[in-house]
Amino acid sequence: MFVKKDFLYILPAIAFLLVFAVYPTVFGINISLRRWILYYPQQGTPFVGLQNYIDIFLSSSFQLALQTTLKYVIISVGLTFVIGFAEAYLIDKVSFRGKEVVTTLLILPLTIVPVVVGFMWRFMYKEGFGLITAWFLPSLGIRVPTILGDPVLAFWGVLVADVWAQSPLVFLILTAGFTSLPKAPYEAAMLDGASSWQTLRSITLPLLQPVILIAVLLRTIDAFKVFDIIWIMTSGGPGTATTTLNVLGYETAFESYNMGKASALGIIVLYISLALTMVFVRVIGRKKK
Amino acid sequence: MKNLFESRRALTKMKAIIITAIIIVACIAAVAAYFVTLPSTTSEKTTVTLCTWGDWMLTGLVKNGVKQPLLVEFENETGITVNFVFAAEDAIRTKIWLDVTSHTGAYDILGMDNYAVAQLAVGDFVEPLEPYVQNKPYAKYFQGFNDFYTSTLDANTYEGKLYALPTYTFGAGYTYRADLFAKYNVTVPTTFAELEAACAKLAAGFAADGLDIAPITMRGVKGEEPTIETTGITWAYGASWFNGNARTVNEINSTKAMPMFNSTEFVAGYEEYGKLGRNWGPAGLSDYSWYECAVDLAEGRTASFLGFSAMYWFVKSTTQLPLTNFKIALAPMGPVRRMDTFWTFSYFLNKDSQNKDAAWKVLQLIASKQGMTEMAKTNLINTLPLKSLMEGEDIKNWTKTPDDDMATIIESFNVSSILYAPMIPEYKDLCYMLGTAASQILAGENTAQGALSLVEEMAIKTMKDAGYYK
Repeated sequence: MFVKKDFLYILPAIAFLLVFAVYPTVFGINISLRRWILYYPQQGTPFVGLQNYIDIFLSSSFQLALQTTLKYVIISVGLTFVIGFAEAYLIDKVSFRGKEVVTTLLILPLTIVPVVVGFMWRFMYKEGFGLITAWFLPSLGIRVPTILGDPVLAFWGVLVADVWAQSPLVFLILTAGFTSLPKAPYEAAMLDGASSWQTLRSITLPLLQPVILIAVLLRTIDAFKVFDIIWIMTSGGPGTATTTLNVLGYETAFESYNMGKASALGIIVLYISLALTMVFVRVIGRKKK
Repeated sequence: MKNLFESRRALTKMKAIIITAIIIVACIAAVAAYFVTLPSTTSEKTTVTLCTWGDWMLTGLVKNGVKQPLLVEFENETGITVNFVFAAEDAIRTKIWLDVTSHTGAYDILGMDNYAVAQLAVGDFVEPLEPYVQNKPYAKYFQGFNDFYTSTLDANTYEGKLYALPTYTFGAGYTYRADLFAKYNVTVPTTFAELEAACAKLAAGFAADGLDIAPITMRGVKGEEPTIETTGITWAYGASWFNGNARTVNEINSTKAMPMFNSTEFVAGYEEYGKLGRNWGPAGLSDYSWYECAVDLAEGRTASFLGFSAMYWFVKSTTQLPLTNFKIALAPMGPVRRMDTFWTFSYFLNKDSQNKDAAWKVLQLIASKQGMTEMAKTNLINTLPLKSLMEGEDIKNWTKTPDDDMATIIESFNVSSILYAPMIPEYKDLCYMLGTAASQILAGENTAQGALSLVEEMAIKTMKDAGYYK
């Protein structure tokens, strides 16, 4: 039973959350309900209610950015999960010499700062002398004049860079999940003559479900938040091909200097992330029961 | 045992209280530090901090972090210590805006392009300079305004007040590979029609010889970069941003001038830009900043650049190709006027500076003939706002610029002006929209008409939100 004096033990955490989480969020919500343009300080920050939100939802740039973001999240999460799962499964099931080295190499992309990842891949995609456009693709007989200059290929180019950088996270989480699986069901399955595919489908996947949900949740939140890789590689271009909600928010704040609308965009992204988190938490909670 | 348990609980309780108290005290201290300024315990030297991008524009004062003799002499004479904050353009813009809007006065001198004049002036973030010029000139470095090209001062003037001193400038130009033009018998174009013909002839020649060279390059990356060129081209086609070429806040409000981005002339200008880029530009042009254009030209992957005249000196300072390969011509004429891309880089005096007099002295040093001379000598920069430098003989030797090219660059200043673009606080925002549209057109994401229709819609919303047309 929670008694009053127990409150003292959680006071430091509450203080920290109030100062570094609650206050900035409340401040952001407050600004999102105001008109605040940095180069018009004499206009002050008049209260405009939900006008910023209405303007955002009605704007074609927001609708396009939302489409791009959703497309990006779905594909990125799907790909990182498939790749991360495949890697974790193989590392768990297959024994070979140098397994530790391979595992370390698989994790390596996660240790690279996203800005560096962006620069690295931008350089590899460079027309004329990039590793991918000038050597790798031509060696496969594929001639691509440009990747980051084409609206469709730029989207996939950025996605590939992000998937490369973030698959190790899914790999790590699922590897931990694999190592925690009980051995008894597998021994029983082996005795019953189950195939690898049957074992995977009927034993591994069900047992791993909570871990998979956590990996997918973290990856989804990450994909929603992505900004640095996109900004470094394409600045949201060419045109608006890779402009996601976060890129649009940055542009609204630091190109248009419209802090009210930028805050509103940030709050929208926050609520979308929160909604997704709640859905996942409920699903995970149900699975545990 | 019970006593031990209770004493442990008491200890944990105490720790919780202490940690909470530390967090609260830290927050109070942070807030107090914002409001309380402790008395200085350092020496009597005054410190002026300059925040800017493009450290290559200040090589007369500091190079690779090392203060140069000109600055050292200045510091010894005046007792002023000059500190520099350099970073990438995006980062510096953010730093400056955070500083001026929060009135911290961390930076005494702000280095920005002339597009910021209207925003900084309207927001009352920077000092008008006339009072300083009249009352406190530092004659060793400031000899008045007569030596500046008038257009460079106009670009830094808002509602009759001068807000910044320019130190670097450019007009429109066509930088080209003279050797390739000679090889394929191509005439230097003077109109857009001739430019298209020149590009077509070069493309045919390159194809016949199996050369992977693009006839032309221009800026095409999403954002504000291409807008200088596209605005210059639309200007040549007789277009303007606002109805009746209203350029200032007063003009737009008094005439209720609406954005005209969807006008026939504006669309025609963008279509020309798109045609040049898509037909004869390098692959990936929709992602090209000025840097990619410069690298392509310097490394021989492009035969010409249409845009700012400063590309000429930049390419010559970085290329491994023979310098005589590069020439510059005036920007082509459109149906109505010559293309324009006038721009200056300038330094402003922060209104929240605690050392305005000292900062004004430093500002005069930066914009002095001595400072710009060093820029020309060390970086081969030949697009400076001072007439005595540009029209003298020395700059041609320092920057290895032949007589005819120097004459062209000077002529580009004479035919350029800031009239091709508006001077309003919303300029940068609209610039970003127009540049994004340019990138869309080059990438084939949208047509000129389609992209500009959207821009006009967004621009009208932006202007109305800002309080115009009431």
